[in-house]
Amino acid sequence: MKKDISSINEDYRIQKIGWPVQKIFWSLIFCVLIFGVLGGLGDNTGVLSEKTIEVNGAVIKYQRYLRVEKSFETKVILTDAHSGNTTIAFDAEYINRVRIVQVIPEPDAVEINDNHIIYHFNTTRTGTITFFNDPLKMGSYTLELDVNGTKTTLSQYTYF
Amino acid sequence: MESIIIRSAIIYVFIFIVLRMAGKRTLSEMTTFDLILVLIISEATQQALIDDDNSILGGMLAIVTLVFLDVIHGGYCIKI
Repeated sequence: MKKDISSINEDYRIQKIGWPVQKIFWSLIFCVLIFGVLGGLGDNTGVLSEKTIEVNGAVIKYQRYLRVEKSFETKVILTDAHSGNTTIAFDAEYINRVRIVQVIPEPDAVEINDNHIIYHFNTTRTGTITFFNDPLKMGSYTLELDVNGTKTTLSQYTYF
Repeated sequence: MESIIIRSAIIYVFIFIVLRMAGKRTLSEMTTFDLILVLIISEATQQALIDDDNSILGGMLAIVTLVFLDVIHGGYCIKI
């Protein structure tokens, strides 16, 4: 079947400009999709997003890029056997940006001290503590996390 | 699978295969049941694509992935 190309003849000049613009646009979109597949757009997966840091006998696994209201997990893996008590503290400002929906296992106690929310866990051996969170606000944020008295900072960016 | 881009690509390929296997039809051949089927498919697809992601960027990525694959597919069809 012959294609109807009458619209091309109507305004050839604009069509001629349009074709390279379309090619450039879709090339850029291709780059954006590759960036997204690698984790740069908040899919909670991919090498660009999954970050791991070690702090005071614990490994923290978190997501660098997030999307508003798309759940994500922060895992604290205890590698050294802390006898008795493990404490994990967030700065209180973080709660304005992220809703902590669930903590597994449930903490023994939660307290607020010096503008920090402190979770106490009863630990005898190694294990994983998982925080299930929902980001509430877009933009970048540096989280101040304290594990058994050792402070560290995590940088996160939330897309709209 | 968390990535909305990969999920969209899988859904695109799956729907393409299913609709191709159903045979080539024109819109004028559509029955009332076919129309209802399209609506049900779109509802099921929406769940698979977006899931619990309420972000604007998530929706934009799903749209762009589907259209991008369609552009690539369209270009390939013209060449052959």
